[in-house]
Amino acid sequence: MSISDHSDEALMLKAQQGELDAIGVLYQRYSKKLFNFFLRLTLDRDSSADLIQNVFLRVIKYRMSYSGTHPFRTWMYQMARNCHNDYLEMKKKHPNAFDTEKIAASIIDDDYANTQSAQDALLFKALENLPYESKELLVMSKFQGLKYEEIASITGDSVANIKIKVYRTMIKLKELYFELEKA
Amino acid sequence: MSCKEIVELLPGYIDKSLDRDTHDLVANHLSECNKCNGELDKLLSLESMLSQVIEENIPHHVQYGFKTMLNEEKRVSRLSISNKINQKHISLSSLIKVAAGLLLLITGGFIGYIIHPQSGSQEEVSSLKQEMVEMKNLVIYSLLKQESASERIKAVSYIKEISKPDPKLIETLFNTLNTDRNVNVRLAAAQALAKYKDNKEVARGIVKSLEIQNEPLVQIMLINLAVETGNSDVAPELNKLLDRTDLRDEVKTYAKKGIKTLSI
Repeated sequence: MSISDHSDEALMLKAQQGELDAIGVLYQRYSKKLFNFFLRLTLDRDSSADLIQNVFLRVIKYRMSYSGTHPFRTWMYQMARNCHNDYLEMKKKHPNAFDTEKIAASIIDDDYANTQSAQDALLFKALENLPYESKELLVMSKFQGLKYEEIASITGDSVANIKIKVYRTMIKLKELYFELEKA
Repeated sequence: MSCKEIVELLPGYIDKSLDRDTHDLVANHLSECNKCNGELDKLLSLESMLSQVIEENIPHHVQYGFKTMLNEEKRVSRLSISNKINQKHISLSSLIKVAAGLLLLITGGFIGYIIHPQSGSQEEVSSLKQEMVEMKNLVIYSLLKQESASERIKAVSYIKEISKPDPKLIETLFNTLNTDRNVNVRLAAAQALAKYKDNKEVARGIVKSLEIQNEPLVQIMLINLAVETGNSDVAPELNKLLDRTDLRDEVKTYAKKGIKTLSI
């Protein structure tokens, strides 16, 4: 069995025992997913690239504190959310360093309009009109493919609550999308 | 159930996350209600759009950055292993040197005593020892001033080697723990202090340092150390930590565990 066949948890155990290349395998497995997680939330490619680095720096540095009682994915997404919160705080403190409106416009209009369909552009505009918490939930459940149980474990909320929130957000997104389409 | 209530359940009906009874209820309603079927179609097309969004690739430089980061970590962990080996080597060779020196001195002293019983060989030995300690301290202080973090880590590990460091060296360790700009150096200082945690002053210093640390890794290490000291003022300090809004959840978990351990 090659190292890339190991489960996430087995790889973390290897990393804890000093085999740091195991984290390289985890990076291969999750970096693209994480990049897109941050991209949907920040609409900023450079910041998203920085944020995956931050997450994996934490995976490397805190590897000994990973207890193995929860799946690695849950632990990683918790760190990803923390990194994103730090990013939001920094943005609040130094608003001039992030010209997000411009970036968002470029991602939504130029890029997606060019490389993807007009339909997607509308979808992303609708997503941007959701409150932050709802948008994050949809990103986790629809784009990252996380199960309700996993999201509950990541956010510390109950499964029942997460389900209701996702249902409501989908209804809201449907309204926003079809309104934009009409206009 | 009203149409409004049914529509609210449609996303769960689509992803099959409703319980069986509710699912059947929605299905029955849908078999008779055109309006709700219209809403179902809209949601289905939205779901399909969401699932078709293509993921973007990561820019190449990010991969390079990760590799650099991982290699740096490998280097640091190799360094700490080879440092340990070097230290053992140094300590063994210096021990032999010291032993040989002492042996010579004692022999000399003994001969001297036989020839001139009144001369102070004891004083000579102790002043020589004192000089050696001062020399070693000098090396430590100059290493601590180095730009390179690994040199400063070396200094910290030298202090760790000394079996009975003087209070000034302990103070130096605390200064490093509280003020060094590099996390790895601060961690090394915390590790070095772990050896003296049974000393009341050191235990107090560890608890005090918790107040000013902001790096989670250092915080976790200090929490563990503080709990191990079993000192009575640890629990209130940990409780204070829990009130801090800037504290990471991982760290809070450790603090809570610590409080629990202390209360047993």
